Amino acid sequence: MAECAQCGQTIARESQKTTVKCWIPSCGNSVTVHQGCAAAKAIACPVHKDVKKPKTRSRNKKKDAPAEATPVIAEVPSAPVKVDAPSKPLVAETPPEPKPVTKPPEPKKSEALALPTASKTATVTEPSKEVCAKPKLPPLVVYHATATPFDKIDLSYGRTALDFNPKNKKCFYAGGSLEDAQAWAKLQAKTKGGKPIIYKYEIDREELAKLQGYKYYYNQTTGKFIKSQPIPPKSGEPTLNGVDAYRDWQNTVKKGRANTLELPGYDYVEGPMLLNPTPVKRGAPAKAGKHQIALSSQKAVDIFNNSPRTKLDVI
Amino acid sequence: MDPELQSFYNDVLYCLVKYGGLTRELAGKIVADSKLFEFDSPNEREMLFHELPYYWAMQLLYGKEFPEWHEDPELWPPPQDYLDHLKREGERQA
Repeated sequence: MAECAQCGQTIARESQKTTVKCWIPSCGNSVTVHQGCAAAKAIACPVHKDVKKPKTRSRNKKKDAPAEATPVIAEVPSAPVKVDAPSKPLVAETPPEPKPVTKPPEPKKSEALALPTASKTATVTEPSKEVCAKPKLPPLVVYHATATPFDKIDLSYGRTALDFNPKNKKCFYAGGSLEDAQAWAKLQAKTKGGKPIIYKYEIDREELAKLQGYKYYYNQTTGKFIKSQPIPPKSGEPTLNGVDAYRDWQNTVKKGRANTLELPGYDYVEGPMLLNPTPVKRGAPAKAGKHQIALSSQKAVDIFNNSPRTKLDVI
Repeated sequence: MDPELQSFYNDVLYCLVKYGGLTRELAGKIVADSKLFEFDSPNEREMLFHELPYYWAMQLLYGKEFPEWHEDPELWPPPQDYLDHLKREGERQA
């Protein structure tokens, strides 16, 4: 004879018995209950019987969410990287090492979204770790083009006075467009000799979000321009849209190119590259191109150096 | 070459002559030999324009033997008289 996991009474007859799933979404255990008790909400298995049940399982956590960096990144579209994904690769890629797959037991997407709420009220540590699992942001995929092979990124090899360079600082640049990277690698090989090379980096956005940075988002097709809040957010620095964001970007790249950009404490800037520095020096408005990221601190470089990297030979 | 590209090409030659001390003929030969203005894709042209003609001139002058030329403060950032030259050109065009 079994004991009902809901009311605790013995289930006298086999015909009164039924099984239901434990309410903890990632658990998957089945529990035996009276048929009459099965209608009750949030029946827990013996492992999770001490987990405090949430009053509500809201899927919209925005209001309660702490002001942390990750949601800000998530809200800023990272389309340039996707948009620029190559339709026909012109490079020979050495496949990256396969990543270990850590698959939790069959949580549905809708369940995963509800998980953080449950974790707030959990009173035992072990189950709440699973319950807390947030959906992982896709990695930032960027390409660095060169004609000089290297192992680790070294900021001292960079140049000053480029689009997002803080005054007198050297930066490491990579971009979201493989086609642009191929083109840049070829131009480097033509003028410096050597073989055009592209390094593809896959960066964990959550790692990047631990640093200080900001991002301009620009869609070349729609002309949409956004400047994100600094990451992490700072008071008094709002998100900019449209012309305001464009002007801010133009101001930034002009100062960057003039070696007068003040960005104290920033580790990186993401945004479109300046397509026409020569006309801009002659007084023309700046034209925005495809995505790039400029790393100006060792902390940012360390993230890249510890991330998966694939060498691509330009054909 | 279209006018935009021709103008860029002339600017590269100007820099090779003024800052590299080359004759215009030799500057033209160096540019031609490099195939810098022969593009495999539109992106290559875009990336060429992403830098100043001065940068490409210095790359052609020093890139092979002295790839870290841009660490010399006399060579990079671009000299002020070059930037003034661009500004004057812009004012003249306006």
